[in-house]
Amino acid sequence: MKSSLTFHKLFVGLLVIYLLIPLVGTLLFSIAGKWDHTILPESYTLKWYIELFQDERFYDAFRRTLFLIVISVGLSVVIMLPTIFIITVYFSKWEGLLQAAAMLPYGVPPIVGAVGLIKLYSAGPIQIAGTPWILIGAYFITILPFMYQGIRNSLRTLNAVQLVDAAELLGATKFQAFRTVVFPNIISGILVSTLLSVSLLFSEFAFANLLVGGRFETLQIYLSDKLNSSGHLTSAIVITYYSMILLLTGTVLKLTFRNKRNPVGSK
Amino acid sequence: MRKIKKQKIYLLALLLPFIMFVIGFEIGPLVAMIKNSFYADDGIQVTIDQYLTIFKSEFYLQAIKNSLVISVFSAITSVIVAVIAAYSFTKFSQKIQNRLLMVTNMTSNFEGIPLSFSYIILLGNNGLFTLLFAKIGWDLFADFNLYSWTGLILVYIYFQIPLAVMLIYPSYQGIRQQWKEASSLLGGSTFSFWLRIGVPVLLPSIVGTFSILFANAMGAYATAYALVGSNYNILSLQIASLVASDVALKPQLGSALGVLLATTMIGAMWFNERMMRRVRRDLR
Amino acid sequence: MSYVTIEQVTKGYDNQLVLNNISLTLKKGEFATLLGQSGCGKSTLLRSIAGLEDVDVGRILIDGKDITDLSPRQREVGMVFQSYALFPNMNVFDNIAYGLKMKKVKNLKSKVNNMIDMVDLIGKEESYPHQLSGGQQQRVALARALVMEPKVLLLDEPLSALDAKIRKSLQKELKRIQKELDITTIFVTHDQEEAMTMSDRIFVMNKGQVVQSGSPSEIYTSPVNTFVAKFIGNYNVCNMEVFRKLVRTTELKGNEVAIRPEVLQLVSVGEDSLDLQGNWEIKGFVKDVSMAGNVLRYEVETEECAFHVDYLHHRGEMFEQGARVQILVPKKECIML
Repeated sequence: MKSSLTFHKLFVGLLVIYLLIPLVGTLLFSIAGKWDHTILPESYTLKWYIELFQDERFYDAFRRTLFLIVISVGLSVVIMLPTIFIITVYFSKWEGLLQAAAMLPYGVPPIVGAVGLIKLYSAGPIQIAGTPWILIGAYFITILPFMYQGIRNSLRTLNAVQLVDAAELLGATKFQAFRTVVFPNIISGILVSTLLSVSLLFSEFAFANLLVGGRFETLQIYLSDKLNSSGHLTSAIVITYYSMILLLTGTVLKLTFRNKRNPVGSK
Repeated sequence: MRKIKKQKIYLLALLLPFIMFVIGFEIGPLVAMIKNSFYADDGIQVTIDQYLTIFKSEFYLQAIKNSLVISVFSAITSVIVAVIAAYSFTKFSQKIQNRLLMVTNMTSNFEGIPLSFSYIILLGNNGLFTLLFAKIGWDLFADFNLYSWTGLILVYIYFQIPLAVMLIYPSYQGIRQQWKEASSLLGGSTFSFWLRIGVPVLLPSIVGTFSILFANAMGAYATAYALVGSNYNILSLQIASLVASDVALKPQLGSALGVLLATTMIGAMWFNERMMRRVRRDLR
Repeated sequence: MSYVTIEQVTKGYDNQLVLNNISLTLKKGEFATLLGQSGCGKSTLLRSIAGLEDVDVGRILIDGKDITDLSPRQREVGMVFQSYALFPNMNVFDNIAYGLKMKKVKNLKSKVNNMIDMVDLIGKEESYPHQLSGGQQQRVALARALVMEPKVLLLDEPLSALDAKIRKSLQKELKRIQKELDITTIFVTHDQEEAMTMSDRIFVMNKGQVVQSGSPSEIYTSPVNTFVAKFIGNYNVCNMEVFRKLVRTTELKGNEVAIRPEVLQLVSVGEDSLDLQGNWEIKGFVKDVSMAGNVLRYEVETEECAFHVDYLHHRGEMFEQGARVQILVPKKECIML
């Protein structure tokens, strides 16, 4: 028994080291001054970060990424919320269709999606290939599965259909029922899928590179462009970027945990 | 009754934006791609030549083969590691298990361009480890080249493992202590429990996880792009260079390759869905 | 006069009739129960009255007004759901006040507080649904519906999720409140005992139709067919030909005979019945005795079929398992179907 626990400890320990080494290496590299023939850096410095935070290009790229994320995630919430609500409550026979449409992106990677998008939008009536607008459309579809699952699960655990019935019998209109009874109860569930989508789009490279490329430089494009320049500076970008992702997923985990413990907020 | 119908039309109108997005950016592009794959290079003549070209060309068959091999290999390795790791996880206290899951969750977000970069500074031509190993004199790593098949597989396995652990871990939770107790009361050994109950219960979820990882690797683009650029012949990179590069655009051929890739992936996803249905049934 | 009228209501889902030409009327202040097994259409009928389901054919009138095409919010009916459907983001007070707020009613506070008093929830105003017990949630749901002073109160198996003891006390309380407010109530249940205790009138439903309606005692003592007999009172139902053979008579008509278990009497073999004119005798032996609280239930096997015989459990002679007995069947209690 004891020897087998040693095995588990060893295995998990090695795995954790294996998973963390690239991260720790990059972190050290981003704060290393001189480091070429020792195990740990000889000196530390913050100059790479200072250099990064003085780079206008970095801020511009960050702003562009943020713009894309806010618009596409915002659109997704505004469109998906009523869509899923209406279909589950009033057209439940179409639920299968909605599910199929929402889950299809799992089977169609960006590399495939891009092929059709380029074909469709580089000629013809709507020529938006190469502009941020095509990315917003593509991103709307990319985050569709997450938004769909998040919203649908919240509606299910809430038993939204019956709550709306109850509210309507008490004199509420459909819109009032949604606003006063459904929405306040699913908001934390939606927040989770929203944050997941944000972190997913932060790391999106394939669509950005294939559809728009350097014409609208996002954070990921900027990073890929910097790959071949100073390693220290790029490390600083990677660490900055990854810290943001960690912050997002950390919040997601915390929220999910809280939602599980306390299904619908007491206060 | 008429009144109720009128209300439904008004509700249907609210579905329009969603329908437009799905047609414009999901179904539309797929249909356009499929249609485009049946045209000749001039975009006028209808033909199945593109598919014939692929299956006659050693180059593209090699790309498909490379993608398949790298996907299968990285998926199998990650599943094996994950099966052991997730089981080991269950041996620790709940608190440590949560910590470990957090580490896997966090590292699962480390993929694509940043991940490739990390590997470049660690194991690239002037990478920290490369230099360090050279100094110590470990010959084992002397021939190692990150920008090659081995390097690609190494990086793929890295981003597949956390995902595999997160997918497999929950099914261990489904194996209840009571089953083990029942089995031992009936005279079974630990080994026979795993042989007759544990593994059969886990199997659908293992196979399902494999198919997800397989699809994940087939569709991966950013990691490979950052690591090997167009130096290595795999499917996703070939499609990209056919439809969106600066040289030699052949959108029809790219479409045909895209159709093949999408078919493989949707097939894998469908297979996973069937497996998960079994898991849900078994663990009810 | 009739206050609620349902006229030839029919509804189907993919070629199957859930409600098959149902007509019924209720008087004001009446407590009516729709009784039947799951899938008999009772809940669908209730939801159609609430406006949560459309009907294909027929009309529904409340207080002389045709409400068939009105939306739920215009119908002035209140409903309590099986799972209560309380709003989880609102406390008890806000849940009860919800409808009044929607209607923008003035002096809402006193109305809500009166209602909280009526359902005995004083002190719980600030609590949220998940902090309440099942019985308390049930009271909130009831108060939330009643505060709107609906013309009709609809109750969809409101007690089925509660355990037996709370259930009994809530039955009484529900009945008290209903009488106090004199509110017309339609209650849906699959539990015949509950239907018997609570209702002024029972509508027994089967396969989308009302098969029998009447007061609890009418339904209990004279079921119109085998389905009602078996469903309502654990009747002994016996094939008529078999029964004629057992009692050696030719005077009975019909296909089947139904006899309530508590009208039968057992005597030891050899002991003669006092009233041979009014009773038939059947020979048999006690196959099983079981005790359900105050009732002793014998299962008596005869030549042809088995009978249940219920006795109040008081001191006195008790037949052992295997004892040879005669069953005395009162002639006037035999219901021919």
